[in-house]
Amino acid sequence: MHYMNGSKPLQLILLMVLSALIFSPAGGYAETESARKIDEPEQNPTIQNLLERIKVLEHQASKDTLQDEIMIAEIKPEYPALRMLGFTDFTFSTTDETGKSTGFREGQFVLHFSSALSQRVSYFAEVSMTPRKDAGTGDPTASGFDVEVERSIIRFDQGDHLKVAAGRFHTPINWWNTTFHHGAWLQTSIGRPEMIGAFVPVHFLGGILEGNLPSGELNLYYHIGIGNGRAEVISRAGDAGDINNTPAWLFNLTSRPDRFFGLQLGVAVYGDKITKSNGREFKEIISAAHIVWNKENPEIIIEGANVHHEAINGGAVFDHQAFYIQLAYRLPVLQAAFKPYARFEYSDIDQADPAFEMLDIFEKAAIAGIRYDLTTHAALKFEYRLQKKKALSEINSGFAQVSFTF
Amino acid sequence: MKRRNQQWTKIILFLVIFVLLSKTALASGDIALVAHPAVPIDNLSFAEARKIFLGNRQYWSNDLRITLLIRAPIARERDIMLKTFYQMSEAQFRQYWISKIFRAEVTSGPKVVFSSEMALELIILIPGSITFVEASQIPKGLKLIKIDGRMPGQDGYPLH
Repeated sequence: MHYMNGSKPLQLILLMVLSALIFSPAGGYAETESARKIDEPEQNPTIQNLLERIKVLEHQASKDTLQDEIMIAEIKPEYPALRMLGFTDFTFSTTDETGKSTGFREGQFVLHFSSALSQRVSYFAEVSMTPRKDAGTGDPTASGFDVEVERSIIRFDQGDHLKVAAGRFHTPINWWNTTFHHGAWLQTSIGRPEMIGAFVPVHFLGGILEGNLPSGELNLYYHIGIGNGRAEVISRAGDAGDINNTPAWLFNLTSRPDRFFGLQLGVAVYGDKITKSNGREFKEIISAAHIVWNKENPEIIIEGANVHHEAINGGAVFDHQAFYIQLAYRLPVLQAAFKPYARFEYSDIDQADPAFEMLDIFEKAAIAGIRYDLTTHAALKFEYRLQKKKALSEINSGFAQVSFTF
Repeated sequence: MKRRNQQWTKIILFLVIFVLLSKTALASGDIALVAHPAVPIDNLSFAEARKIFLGNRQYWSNDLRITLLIRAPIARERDIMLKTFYQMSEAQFRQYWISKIFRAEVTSGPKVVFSSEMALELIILIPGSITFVEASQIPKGLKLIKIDGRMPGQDGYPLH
Protein backbone atom coordinates (compact mmCIF):
# COMPACT_ATOMS: atom_id res chain seq x y z
CA MET A 1 0.00 0.00 0.00
CA HIS A 2 2.64 2.51 1.01
CA TYR A 3 4.46 1.97 -2.29
CA MET A 4 1.52 3.70 -3.80
CA ASN A 5 1.47 6.81 -1.57
CA GLY A 6 4.43 8.40 -3.32
CA SER A 7 6.84 8.65 -0.34
CA LYS A 8 9.02 5.66 -1.16
CA PRO A 9 9.99 6.75 -4.68
CA LEU A 10 10.80 10.23 -3.31
CA GLN A 11 12.91 8.70 -0.55
CA LEU A 12 14.74 6.58 -3.10
CA ILE A 13 15.44 9.58 -5.31
CA LEU A 14 16.66 11.63 -2.36
CA LEU A 15 18.89 8.79 -1.20
CA MET A 16 20.39 8.54 -4.66
CA VAL A 17 21.02 12.31 -4.74
CA LEU A 18 22.58 12.15 -1.28
CA SER A 19 24.85 9.28 -2.24
CA ALA A 20 25.91 11.10 -5.37
CA LEU A 21 26.66 14.26 -3.40
CA ILE A 22 28.59 12.52 -0.65
CA PHE A 23 30.61 10.14 -2.73
CA SER A 24 31.22 12.25 -5.79
CA PRO A 25 34.53 14.13 -5.81
CA ALA A 26 34.81 17.59 -7.38
CA GLY A 27 35.18 16.20 -10.84
CA GLY A 28 32.24 13.87 -10.38
CA TYR A 29 33.16 10.89 -12.49
CA ALA A 30 30.91 7.81 -12.57
CA GLU A 31 31.98 4.22 -12.21
CA THR A 32 32.54 2.67 -15.59
CA GLU A 33 32.72 -0.82 -16.93
CA SER A 34 36.48 -0.55 -17.21
CA ALA A 35 36.76 0.61 -13.60
CA ARG A 36 34.97 -2.49 -12.47
CA LYS A 37 37.62 -4.51 -14.24
CA ILE A 38 40.37 -2.94 -12.12
CA ASP A 39 41.84 -6.31 -11.29
CA GLU A 40 42.68 -6.97 -14.90
CA PRO A 41 44.20 -3.70 -16.20
CA GLU A 42 46.38 -5.26 -18.88
CA GLN A 43 43.21 -6.37 -20.63
CA ASN A 44 41.72 -2.88 -20.63
CA PRO A 45 43.24 -0.10 -22.77
CA THR A 46 41.34 2.59 -20.79
CA ILE A 47 43.01 1.50 -17.57
CA GLN A 48 46.37 1.44 -19.33
CA ASN A 49 45.77 4.98 -20.54
CA LEU A 50 44.78 6.10 -17.07
CA LEU A 51 47.91 4.58 -15.53
CA GLU A 52 50.02 6.37 -18.12
CA ARG A 53 48.20 9.58 -17.34
CA ILE A 54 48.88 9.18 -13.62
CA LYS A 55 52.60 8.78 -14.36
CA VAL A 56 52.57 11.97 -16.44
CA LEU A 57 50.71 13.89 -13.72
CA GLU A 58 53.09 12.65 -11.02
CA HIS A 59 56.03 13.83 -13.12
CA GLN A 60 54.28 17.15 -13.70
CA ALA A 61 53.66 17.54 -9.96
CA SER A 62 57.34 17.04 -9.16
CA LYS A 63 58.21 19.59 -11.86
CA ASP A 64 55.69 22.07 -10.38
CA THR A 65 57.30 21.67 -6.95
CA LEU A 66 60.69 22.46 -8.49
CA GLN A 67 59.24 25.48 -10.30
CA ASP A 68 57.67 26.64 -7.01
CA GLU A 69 61.06 26.38 -5.35
CA ILE A 70 62.67 28.40 -8.14
CA MET A 71 59.94 31.03 -7.91
CA ILE A 72 60.28 31.19 -4.13
CA ALA A 73 64.03 31.75 -4.53
CA GLU A 74 63.28 34.58 -6.99
CA ILE A 75 60.73 36.23 -4.70
CA LYS A 76 62.90 36.29 -1.58
CA PRO A 77 64.41 39.80 -1.30
CA GLU A 78 67.89 40.28 -2.69
CA TYR A 79 69.79 43.58 -2.99
CA PRO A 80 70.26 45.50 -5.19
CA ALA A 81 67.04 44.61 -6.97
CA LEU A 82 66.98 46.66 -10.16
CA ARG A 83 63.77 46.94 -12.15
CA MET A 84 63.16 48.85 -15.35
CA LEU A 85 60.01 50.31 -16.82
CA GLY A 86 59.47 52.43 -19.91
CA PHE A 87 56.93 54.85 -21.34
CA THR A 88 56.57 56.35 -24.77
CA ASP A 89 53.99 57.56 -27.26
CA PHE A 90 53.40 58.57 -30.87
CA THR A 91 51.08 61.41 -31.72
CA PHE A 92 49.39 62.68 -34.87
CA SER A 93 48.29 66.30 -34.74
CA THR A 94 46.60 68.83 -36.95
CA THR A 95 45.93 72.49 -36.20
CA ASP A 96 44.82 75.77 -37.73
CA GLU A 97 47.52 77.68 -35.83
CA THR A 98 49.69 79.71 -38.21
CA GLY A 99 53.16 78.27 -38.69
CA LYS A 100 52.31 74.82 -37.33
CA SER A 101 52.07 71.76 -39.56
CA THR A 102 50.05 68.60 -39.61
CA GLY A 103 51.87 65.35 -39.01
CA PHE A 104 53.30 62.75 -36.68
CA ARG A 105 55.48 63.31 -33.64
CA GLU A 106 57.48 60.91 -31.59
CA GLY A 107 56.87 61.44 -27.91
CA GLN A 108 59.37 61.29 -25.09
CA PHE A 109 61.07 57.95 -24.70
CA VAL A 110 61.26 57.51 -20.95
CA LEU A 111 63.06 54.85 -18.94
CA HIS A 112 62.65 54.29 -15.21
CA PHE A 113 65.12 52.46 -13.05
CA SER A 114 64.05 51.56 -9.55
CA SER A 115 66.22 49.60 -7.21
CA ALA A 116 65.94 48.54 -3.59
CA LEU A 117 69.48 48.80 -2.18
CA SER A 118 68.45 47.39 1.19
CA GLN A 119 65.28 47.08 3.22
CA ARG A 120 65.41 50.81 3.99
CA VAL A 121 67.32 52.37 1.11
CA SER A 122 66.06 52.70 -2.45
CA TYR A 123 67.08 54.47 -5.63
CA PHE A 124 64.93 55.73 -8.48
CA ALA A 125 66.02 57.26 -11.78
CA GLU A 126 64.10 58.57 -14.77
CA VAL A 127 65.83 59.27 -18.07
CA SER A 128 64.02 60.85 -21.00
CA MET A 129 64.92 61.19 -24.65
CA THR A 130 63.04 63.96 -26.43
CA PRO A 131 63.18 64.43 -30.22
CA ARG A 132 64.79 67.71 -31.31
CA LYS A 133 63.40 69.94 -34.01
CA ASP A 134 66.92 71.13 -34.90
CA ALA A 135 68.34 67.63 -35.25
CA GLY A 136 71.26 67.48 -37.69
CA THR A 137 71.78 71.24 -37.85
CA GLY A 138 74.40 73.52 -36.30
CA ASP A 139 78.06 73.02 -35.50
CA PRO A 140 78.57 70.74 -33.69
CA THR A 141 75.62 68.97 -35.24
CA ALA A 142 72.60 68.72 -32.96
CA SER A 143 71.71 65.16 -32.06
CA GLY A 144 68.33 63.63 -32.83
CA PHE A 145 67.26 63.51 -29.20
CA ASP A 146 67.83 65.49 -26.02
CA VAL A 147 68.77 63.19 -23.19
CA GLU A 148 67.77 64.35 -19.70
CA VAL A 149 68.07 62.85 -16.25
CA GLU A 150 64.58 63.88 -15.20
CA ARG A 151 64.72 62.33 -11.75
CA SER A 152 67.48 60.76 -9.70
CA ILE A 153 66.46 60.05 -6.12
CA ILE A 154 68.06 58.13 -3.33
CA ARG A 155 65.82 57.59 -0.32
CA PHE A 156 66.34 56.31 3.20
CA ASP A 157 63.24 55.14 5.04
CA GLN A 158 63.32 55.56 8.79
CA GLY A 159 59.77 54.22 8.73
CA ASP A 160 56.38 55.32 7.47
CA HIS A 161 56.67 58.60 9.38
CA LEU A 162 60.03 59.73 8.07
CA LYS A 163 61.66 59.15 4.70
CA VAL A 164 64.71 61.20 3.78
CA ALA A 165 65.51 61.66 0.11
CA ALA A 166 68.11 63.54 -1.91
CA GLY A 167 68.35 64.15 -5.63
CA ARG A 168 66.34 65.60 -8.48
CA PHE A 169 62.57 65.34 -7.99
CA HIS A 170 59.32 66.32 -9.62
CA THR A 171 58.49 69.29 -7.41
CA PRO A 172 55.81 67.98 -5.06
CA ILE A 173 53.62 71.05 -5.09
CA ASN A 174 51.35 69.98 -7.95
CA TRP A 175 49.34 66.78 -8.16
CA TRP A 176 49.62 66.32 -11.94
CA ASN A 177 53.34 67.01 -11.92
CA THR A 178 54.11 64.22 -9.48
CA THR A 179 51.44 61.79 -10.66
CA PHE A 180 51.70 61.80 -14.46
CA HIS A 181 54.77 63.77 -15.55
CA HIS A 182 56.52 61.97 -18.49
CA GLY A 183 54.02 59.13 -18.37
CA ALA A 184 51.52 59.88 -21.15
CA TRP A 185 49.97 56.42 -20.77
CA LEU A 186 49.24 57.06 -17.10
CA GLN A 187 47.22 60.21 -17.70
CA THR A 188 43.74 60.14 -19.18
CA SER A 189 44.32 62.93 -21.68
CA ILE A 190 46.95 63.31 -24.40
CA GLY A 191 48.65 66.39 -23.01
CA ARG A 192 49.22 67.91 -19.62
CA PRO A 193 47.55 71.14 -18.46
CA GLU A 194 49.28 74.36 -19.49
CA MET A 195 50.01 75.32 -15.88
CA ILE A 196 52.27 72.25 -15.50
CA GLY A 197 55.40 73.63 -17.12
CA ALA A 198 57.14 76.90 -16.54
CA PHE A 199 54.28 78.49 -14.58
CA VAL A 200 55.28 76.37 -11.58
CA PRO A 201 58.70 74.75 -11.24
CA VAL A 202 58.36 71.11 -12.25
CA HIS A 203 61.79 69.93 -11.09
CA PHE A 204 63.47 70.39 -7.74
CA LEU A 205 67.08 69.59 -6.89
CA GLY A 206 67.80 69.14 -3.20
CA GLY A 207 66.58 67.17 -0.21
CA ILE A 208 63.08 66.20 0.83
CA LEU A 209 61.66 64.78 4.05
CA GLU A 210 58.32 63.02 3.74
CA GLY A 211 56.06 60.66 5.61
CA ASN A 212 52.75 59.89 7.24
CA LEU A 213 51.55 62.10 10.07
CA PRO A 214 49.65 60.54 12.98
CA SER A 215 46.22 61.81 11.99
CA GLY A 216 43.72 58.98 12.35
CA GLU A 217 41.22 58.66 9.53
CA LEU A 218 42.55 61.75 7.74
CA ASN A 219 45.76 59.99 6.65
CA LEU A 220 47.87 63.12 6.36
CA TYR A 221 51.11 62.95 4.40
CA TYR A 222 53.77 65.68 4.32
CA HIS A 223 56.73 66.78 2.20
CA ILE A 224 59.29 69.32 3.42
CA GLY A 225 62.03 70.24 0.99
CA ILE A 226 65.00 72.51 0.52
CA GLY A 227 66.85 72.87 -2.79
CA ASN A 228 68.25 75.03 -5.55
CA GLY A 229 65.03 76.42 -6.99
CA ARG A 230 64.60 77.88 -10.44
CA ALA A 231 67.59 78.43 -12.70
CA GLU A 232 68.19 81.46 -14.91
CA VAL A 233 65.77 79.87 -17.38
CA ILE A 234 62.87 79.61 -14.98
CA SER A 235 61.51 76.33 -16.36
CA ARG A 236 64.69 74.55 -15.30
CA ALA A 237 66.03 73.46 -11.93
CA GLY A 238 69.53 74.55 -10.95
CA ASP A 239 71.14 71.21 -11.78
CA ALA A 240 74.71 72.43 -11.91
CA GLY A 241 74.36 74.60 -8.79
CA ASP A 242 72.09 77.28 -7.41
CA ILE A 243 72.03 80.55 -9.28
CA ASN A 244 71.98 82.48 -6.01
CA ASN A 245 72.72 81.86 -2.35
CA THR A 246 69.07 81.64 -1.38
CA PRO A 247 67.72 78.10 -1.39
CA ALA A 248 64.19 77.30 -2.44
CA TRP A 249 61.92 75.59 0.07
CA LEU A 250 58.62 73.77 -0.07
CA PHE A 251 56.01 72.27 2.17
CA ASN A 252 52.97 70.25 1.25
CA LEU A 253 50.27 68.37 3.08
CA THR A 254 47.89 65.87 1.54
CA SER A 255 45.01 63.89 2.98
CA ARG A 256 43.36 60.66 1.82
CA PRO A 257 40.46 60.29 4.26
CA ASP A 258 39.39 56.72 5.04
CA ARG A 259 35.74 57.66 4.85
CA PHE A 260 35.95 58.69 1.19
CA PHE A 261 38.15 56.07 -0.44
CA GLY A 262 39.55 57.60 -3.64
CA LEU A 263 39.52 61.21 -2.46
CA GLN A 264 42.74 63.17 -2.12
CA LEU A 265 43.04 66.76 -0.94
CA GLY A 266 46.25 68.73 -0.81
CA VAL A 267 47.81 72.14 -0.22
CA ALA A 268 51.36 73.27 -0.89
CA VAL A 269 53.54 76.32 -0.58
CA TYR A 270 56.89 76.99 -2.27
CA GLY A 271 59.35 79.85 -1.84
CA ASP A 272 62.40 80.89 -3.84
CA LYS A 273 64.49 83.81 -5.03
CA ILE A 274 64.62 84.13 -8.82
CA THR A 275 67.73 85.70 -10.35
CA LYS A 276 67.42 86.66 -14.00
CA SER A 277 70.36 86.92 -16.41
CA ASN A 278 70.22 90.74 -16.21
CA GLY A 279 70.79 90.53 -12.44
CA ARG A 280 67.26 91.44 -11.41
CA GLU A 281 66.00 89.46 -8.46
CA PHE A 282 62.49 88.51 -7.40
CA LYS A 283 60.99 86.87 -4.38
CA GLU A 284 58.64 84.07 -5.44
CA ILE A 285 55.94 82.45 -3.33
CA ILE A 286 53.72 79.80 -4.89
CA SER A 287 50.63 78.49 -3.17
CA ALA A 288 48.77 75.56 -4.67
CA ALA A 289 45.88 73.24 -3.88
CA HIS A 290 44.20 70.21 -5.39
CA ILE A 291 41.13 68.04 -4.97
CA VAL A 292 41.16 64.69 -6.73
CA TRP A 293 38.56 61.96 -6.84
CA ASN A 294 41.02 59.33 -7.94
CA LYS A 295 38.65 56.77 -9.38
CA GLU A 296 37.39 56.34 -12.87
CA ASN A 297 33.64 56.42 -12.27
CA PRO A 298 33.98 59.39 -12.25
CA GLU A 299 37.49 60.83 -12.29
CA ILE A 300 37.64 64.41 -11.05
CA ILE A 301 40.82 66.49 -10.88
CA ILE A 302 40.75 70.10 -9.78
CA GLU A 303 44.01 71.91 -9.28
CA GLY A 304 45.04 75.53 -8.99
CA ALA A 305 48.02 77.69 -8.08
CA ASN A 306 48.87 81.30 -7.37
CA VAL A 307 52.36 82.59 -8.19
CA HIS A 308 53.41 85.71 -6.32
CA HIS A 309 56.40 87.74 -7.56
CA GLU A 310 57.93 90.71 -5.82
CA ALA A 311 61.00 92.58 -7.09
CA ILE A 312 63.61 92.54 -4.32
CA ASN A 313 65.03 95.98 -5.01
CA GLY A 314 61.63 97.61 -5.30
CA GLY A 315 59.09 97.53 -8.07
CA ALA A 316 55.69 96.15 -8.80
CA VAL A 317 54.16 93.12 -7.18
CA PHE A 318 52.48 90.52 -9.39
CA ASP A 319 50.09 87.68 -8.67
CA HIS A 320 49.34 85.15 -11.39
CA GLN A 321 46.70 82.42 -11.20
CA ALA A 322 46.06 79.24 -13.11
CA PHE A 323 43.72 76.31 -12.60
CA TYR A 324 42.13 73.41 -14.44
CA ILE A 325 39.24 71.03 -13.95
CA GLN A 326 39.26 67.62 -15.58
CA LEU A 327 36.34 65.21 -15.61
CA ALA A 328 36.33 61.71 -17.00
CA TYR A 329 34.17 58.61 -16.79
CA ARG A 330 35.06 55.03 -17.67
CA LEU A 331 32.04 53.63 -19.49
CA PRO A 332 30.81 50.35 -18.01
CA VAL A 333 30.15 48.83 -21.46
CA LEU A 334 32.45 47.20 -24.04
CA GLN A 335 34.76 45.74 -21.41
CA ALA A 336 35.16 49.18 -19.82
CA ALA A 337 37.70 50.08 -22.48
CA PHE A 338 36.37 53.57 -23.27
CA LYS A 339 36.85 56.65 -21.13
CA PRO A 340 35.55 59.99 -22.41
CA TYR A 341 37.00 63.08 -20.79
CA ALA A 342 36.89 66.86 -20.80
CA ARG A 343 39.07 69.56 -19.30
CA PHE A 344 38.81 73.28 -18.89
CA GLU A 345 41.91 75.36 -18.17
CA TYR A 346 42.31 78.97 -17.26
CA SER A 347 45.37 81.08 -16.56
CA ASP A 348 45.74 84.77 -15.78
CA ILE A 349 49.35 85.78 -16.35
CA ASP A 350 50.37 89.44 -16.09
CA GLN A 351 52.68 89.93 -19.06
CA ALA A 352 54.20 92.99 -17.39
CA ASP A 353 55.97 90.79 -14.81
CA PRO A 354 59.69 90.74 -15.73
CA ALA A 355 60.08 87.37 -13.97
CA PHE A 356 57.58 85.82 -16.39
CA GLU A 357 58.64 87.75 -19.49
CA MET A 358 59.34 84.58 -21.50
CA LEU A 359 56.30 82.67 -20.28
CA ASP A 360 53.95 81.94 -23.16
CA ILE A 361 50.93 79.90 -22.17
CA PHE A 362 47.29 79.84 -23.23
CA GLU A 363 44.81 81.91 -21.32
CA LYS A 364 41.96 79.47 -21.87
CA ALA A 365 41.68 75.96 -23.15
CA ALA A 366 38.78 73.57 -23.54
CA ILE A 367 39.59 69.94 -24.25
CA ALA A 368 37.40 66.98 -25.07
CA GLY A 369 38.52 63.49 -25.91
CA ILE A 370 38.17 59.79 -25.52
CA ARG A 371 40.63 57.20 -24.31
CA TYR A 372 40.40 53.62 -25.52
CA ASP A 373 42.49 51.05 -23.68
CA LEU A 374 43.78 48.72 -26.37
CA THR A 375 45.26 46.40 -23.76
CA THR A 376 46.10 46.69 -20.08
CA HIS A 377 49.31 48.54 -20.98
CA ALA A 378 48.49 50.52 -24.14
CA ALA A 379 45.96 53.22 -24.87
CA LEU A 380 44.66 55.03 -27.92
CA LYS A 381 43.43 58.58 -27.38
CA PHE A 382 41.63 61.09 -29.58
CA GLU A 383 41.45 64.70 -28.47
CA TYR A 384 40.10 68.03 -29.64
CA ARG A 385 41.49 71.28 -28.20
CA LEU A 386 40.19 74.80 -28.40
CA GLN A 387 42.82 77.20 -27.06
CA LYS A 388 43.15 80.95 -26.81
CA LYS A 389 45.95 83.32 -25.92
CA LYS A 390 45.31 86.87 -24.73
CA ALA A 391 44.54 89.23 -27.64
CA LEU A 392 44.87 86.43 -30.19
CA SER A 393 42.27 84.40 -32.03
CA GLU A 394 41.21 80.91 -31.06
CA ILE A 395 43.17 77.86 -32.19
CA ASN A 396 41.54 74.54 -33.05
CA SER A 397 43.61 71.37 -32.92
CA GLY A 398 43.01 67.65 -33.20
CA PHE A 399 45.23 64.89 -31.87
CA ALA A 400 45.44 61.12 -31.98
CA GLN A 401 47.94 59.32 -29.81
CA VAL A 402 48.99 55.83 -28.95
CA SER A 403 50.76 55.65 -25.59
CA PHE A 404 52.01 52.69 -23.65
CA THR A 405 54.24 51.37 -20.92
CA PHE A 406 56.68 48.55 -21.47
CA MET B 1 3.50 3.79 8.60
CA LYS B 2 2.72 6.81 6.48
CA ARG B 3 3.96 9.09 9.27
CA ARG B 4 7.16 7.09 9.53
CA ASN B 5 7.74 7.45 5.79
CA GLN B 6 7.24 11.18 6.02
CA GLN B 7 9.79 11.35 8.84
CA TRP B 8 12.33 9.46 6.73
CA THR B 9 11.64 11.76 3.80
CA LYS B 10 12.29 14.77 6.04
CA ILE B 11 15.53 13.31 7.41
CA ILE B 12 16.87 12.50 3.94
CA LEU B 13 15.80 15.91 2.62
CA PHE B 14 17.58 17.55 5.55
CA LEU B 15 20.75 15.57 4.79
CA VAL B 16 20.61 16.54 1.11
CA ILE B 17 20.29 20.21 2.02
CA PHE B 18 23.04 19.90 4.65
CA VAL B 19 25.50 18.32 2.21
CA LEU B 20 24.65 20.86 -0.46
CA LEU B 21 25.17 23.78 1.93
CA SER B 22 28.44 22.31 3.21
CA LYS B 23 29.78 22.02 -0.32
CA THR B 24 28.69 25.56 -1.15
CA ALA B 25 30.29 26.90 2.04
CA LEU B 26 33.58 25.20 1.21
CA ALA B 27 33.57 26.65 -2.28
CA SER B 28 32.97 30.22 -1.09
CA GLY B 29 34.85 30.31 2.24
CA ASP B 30 36.25 33.43 3.87
CA ILE B 31 39.66 34.70 2.92
CA ALA B 32 42.06 35.03 5.83
CA LEU B 33 44.96 37.44 6.22
CA VAL B 34 48.08 35.51 7.19
CA ALA B 35 51.33 37.13 8.27
CA HIS B 36 54.90 36.14 9.14
CA PRO B 37 55.09 35.03 12.79
CA ALA B 38 57.29 38.03 13.70
CA VAL B 39 54.69 40.58 12.61
CA PRO B 40 53.90 42.47 15.82
CA ILE B 41 50.17 42.83 15.11
CA ASP B 42 47.21 40.48 15.60
CA ASN B 43 44.40 42.76 14.57
CA LEU B 44 43.96 45.45 11.91
CA SER B 45 41.07 47.75 11.18
CA PHE B 46 39.69 47.36 7.66
CA ALA B 47 41.05 50.82 6.79
CA GLU B 48 44.50 49.94 8.12
CA ALA B 49 44.55 46.64 6.20
CA ARG B 50 43.54 48.52 3.05
CA LYS B 51 46.40 51.01 3.58
CA ILE B 52 48.82 48.11 3.80
CA PHE B 53 47.61 46.45 0.62
CA LEU B 54 47.57 49.81 -1.19
CA GLY B 55 51.23 50.26 -0.23
CA ASN B 56 50.44 53.44 1.71
CA ARG B 57 51.76 51.87 4.88
CA GLN B 58 55.05 50.09 4.20
CA TYR B 59 56.40 49.23 7.65
CA TRP B 60 55.05 47.15 10.55
CA SER B 61 57.57 48.87 12.79
CA ASN B 62 60.69 50.90 12.07
CA ASP B 63 62.79 47.79 11.57
CA LEU B 64 60.30 45.51 9.81
CA ARG B 65 59.21 46.26 6.27
CA ILE B 66 55.92 44.93 4.93
CA THR B 67 56.16 42.54 1.98
CA LEU B 68 52.91 41.96 0.13
CA LEU B 69 52.28 38.55 -1.39
CA ILE B 70 49.36 38.56 -3.80
CA ARG B 71 47.89 35.68 -5.78
CA ALA B 72 48.22 35.70 -9.56
CA PRO B 73 45.16 36.65 -11.67
CA ILE B 74 42.13 34.36 -11.84
CA ALA B 75 42.59 33.15 -8.23
CA ARG B 76 39.47 33.72 -6.16
CA GLU B 77 41.54 35.27 -3.37
CA ARG B 78 42.82 37.93 -5.77
CA ASP B 79 39.32 38.74 -7.02
CA ILE B 80 38.11 39.22 -3.46
CA MET B 81 41.03 41.51 -2.59
CA LEU B 82 40.47 43.61 -5.72
CA LYS B 83 36.78 43.91 -4.92
CA THR B 84 37.06 44.71 -1.21
CA PHE B 85 40.37 46.45 -0.49
CA TYR B 86 41.26 47.97 -3.85
CA GLN B 87 37.82 48.47 -5.43
CA MET B 88 39.56 48.13 -8.78
CA SER B 89 39.45 46.01 -11.91
CA GLU B 90 42.47 43.92 -12.82
CA ALA B 91 43.60 46.61 -15.30
CA GLN B 92 43.17 49.39 -12.74
CA PHE B 93 45.10 47.36 -10.19
CA ARG B 94 48.05 46.98 -12.58
CA GLN B 95 47.98 50.68 -13.45
CA TYR B 96 47.80 51.54 -9.76
CA TRP B 97 51.08 49.77 -9.03
CA ILE B 98 52.82 51.10 -12.14
CA SER B 99 51.78 54.61 -11.02
CA LYS B 100 53.15 53.96 -7.57
CA ILE B 101 56.52 52.90 -8.97
CA PHE B 102 56.38 55.89 -11.35
CA ARG B 103 55.99 58.23 -8.36
CA ALA B 104 58.98 56.53 -6.71
CA GLU B 105 56.82 55.58 -3.73
CA VAL B 106 57.81 51.92 -4.03
CA THR B 107 60.52 50.10 -5.96
CA SER B 108 58.26 47.24 -7.01
CA GLY B 109 54.70 46.02 -6.80
CA PRO B 110 53.48 43.16 -4.61
CA LYS B 111 55.17 39.79 -5.03
CA VAL B 112 53.02 37.44 -7.05
CA VAL B 113 52.41 33.91 -5.79
CA PHE B 114 50.86 31.15 -7.84
CA SER B 115 49.25 28.94 -5.24
CA SER B 116 48.12 28.97 -1.63
CA GLU B 117 50.91 26.54 -0.80
CA MET B 118 53.49 28.89 -2.25
CA ALA B 119 51.98 31.84 -0.35
CA LEU B 120 52.06 29.92 2.93
CA GLU B 121 55.62 28.75 2.34
CA LEU B 122 56.83 32.30 1.60
CA ILE B 123 55.02 33.69 4.64
CA ILE B 124 57.33 31.64 6.83
CA LEU B 125 60.43 32.57 4.82
CA ILE B 126 60.03 36.34 4.38
CA PRO B 127 60.00 38.47 7.56
CA GLY B 128 57.22 41.08 7.48
CA SER B 129 55.27 39.35 4.74
CA ILE B 130 51.48 39.26 4.62
CA THR B 131 49.14 37.42 2.26
CA PHE B 132 45.58 36.21 1.96
CA VAL B 133 44.53 32.61 1.62
CA GLU B 134 41.27 30.66 1.78
CA ALA B 135 40.70 30.20 5.50
CA SER B 136 39.99 26.49 5.05
CA GLN B 137 43.50 25.94 3.60
CA ILE B 138 45.51 27.40 6.46
CA PRO B 139 47.35 24.87 8.60
CA LYS B 140 47.51 25.35 12.36
CA GLY B 141 50.31 27.45 13.81
CA LEU B 142 50.30 30.29 11.26
CA LYS B 143 49.62 33.86 12.29
CA LEU B 144 46.12 34.95 11.35
CA ILE B 145 45.35 38.67 11.40
CA LYS B 146 41.90 39.67 12.58
CA ILE B 147 40.06 42.42 10.73
CA ASP B 148 38.17 44.79 13.03
CA GLY B 149 38.52 42.13 15.73
CA ARG B 150 36.87 39.41 13.64
CA MET B 151 38.24 36.12 12.45
CA PRO B 152 37.18 34.40 9.19
CA GLY B 153 33.80 32.77 9.60
CA GLN B 154 32.57 35.30 12.16
CA ASP B 155 29.67 37.61 11.44
CA GLY B 156 30.72 40.84 9.81
CA TYR B 157 34.08 39.52 8.55
CA PRO B 158 34.63 41.46 5.31
CA LEU B 159 36.72 39.16 3.11
CA HIS B 160 34.51 36.59 1.42
